[in-house]
Amino acid sequence: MKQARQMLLSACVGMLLVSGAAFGADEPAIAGDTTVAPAKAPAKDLILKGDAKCTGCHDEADEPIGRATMLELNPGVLAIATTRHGVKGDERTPTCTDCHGESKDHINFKGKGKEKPPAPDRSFRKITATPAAERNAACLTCHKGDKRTHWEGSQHAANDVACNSCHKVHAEHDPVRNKKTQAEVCFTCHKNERADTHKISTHPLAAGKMGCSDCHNAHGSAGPKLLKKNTLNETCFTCHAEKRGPFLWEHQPVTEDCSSCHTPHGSNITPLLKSRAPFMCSECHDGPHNSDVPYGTVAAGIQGGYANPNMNPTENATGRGCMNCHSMVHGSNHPAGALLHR
Amino acid sequence: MKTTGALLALLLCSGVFHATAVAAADDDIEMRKILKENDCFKCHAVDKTKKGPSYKSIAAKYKGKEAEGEEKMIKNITTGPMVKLEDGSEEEHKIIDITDKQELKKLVRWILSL
Repeated sequence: MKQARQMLLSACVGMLLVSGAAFGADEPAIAGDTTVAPAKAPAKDLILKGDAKCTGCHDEADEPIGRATMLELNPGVLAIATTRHGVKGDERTPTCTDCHGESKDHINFKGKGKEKPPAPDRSFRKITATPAAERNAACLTCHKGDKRTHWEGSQHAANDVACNSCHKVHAEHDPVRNKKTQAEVCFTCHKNERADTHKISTHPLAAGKMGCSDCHNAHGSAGPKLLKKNTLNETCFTCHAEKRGPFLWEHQPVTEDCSSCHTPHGSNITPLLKSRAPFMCSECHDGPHNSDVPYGTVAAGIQGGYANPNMNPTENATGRGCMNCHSMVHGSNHPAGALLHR
Repeated sequence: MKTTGALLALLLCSGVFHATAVAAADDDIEMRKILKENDCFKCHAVDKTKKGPSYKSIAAKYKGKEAEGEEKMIKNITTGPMVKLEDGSEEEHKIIDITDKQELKKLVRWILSL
């Protein structure tokens, strides 16, 4: 009986505590509700110079109310303060209208009910009437040159990709600028590459040790496939420097094109190979112990009971794992390394 | 036995109190969503003066004369008269996209309860 009373008492206390918390949480979503400005004060800039004309309406109230839906997950306007675009001490820092335009129709809109004002002169939403080139021009006003020198004419520019297709300018943490989250942004469009990175052999994207931008420059490049360097090999050698050479004994495809044998995003044949030895090697090497040649009658040699003690097993049978013997497949500096054995 | 009875009664009361608190929080979110959908928060905030007065200051203004406040607020949000903004300029008040009188009353009563 005593135990039952104790249980009832704790149930009551628990219930009252939870209810108290619910009453206390009567202003759940609007952070700015806690700041009380003096009445009749003229609108002041909140973050950027001259932002009052925008932040007079677009403040904390733009944040989602209650639990955010998928459509409301974009950062609020004021989050710009947490980014480099919110650094007031830097005189180059733009204000709202530098990027979004003067937007007079938007500002002077008088509607009723749920009628929405026309979009600002330059709208950076995913669905917008502002052409990608115009949106990009706003960013390129400041961000021209350097890594973006080859933007014009790049694959992304030619396909109407805008800066805000990948970047979240108002967010404190722009996912595409963080190696751990960058690949997922690229994979939004590059779905085959996402699938490839889930194969057995891949570059450590999922581990967050590298990002797409370690090989590619999404802002344009003089090389193929928006690679950072002028050629594929040059790009690979930035990390795989030991494969660069020069070697005393070179393997021609290594100096020509890494992708003769390797595929960059993922493969089920380690290490990132396009095909498995000996088949891949046989594509070029058709002798002298090419595995495509039939074994003949003395396949097992002396080990198979063949009478002649000098007869070794046929090379055709031993040539299955080329790299077992030709271990220095990328090139050799050994005086006797002509066959890339050592 | 008497103590057990008292505890049971207390449990019942706290249950009712809890349900009321949850309902109040739900109401709060619902009202804020209506205000946001209608862009009311572009000019008003709950307790911050923007282009228009804060809802808390409106509630304080009409404390004790709720009926008058209710009438005036409904007039403002349904007929769109000229209103004076905090900076001294005048503008037509926006008309809310609600026609149901009960819903309108619920909304303005929530504001007056702040």
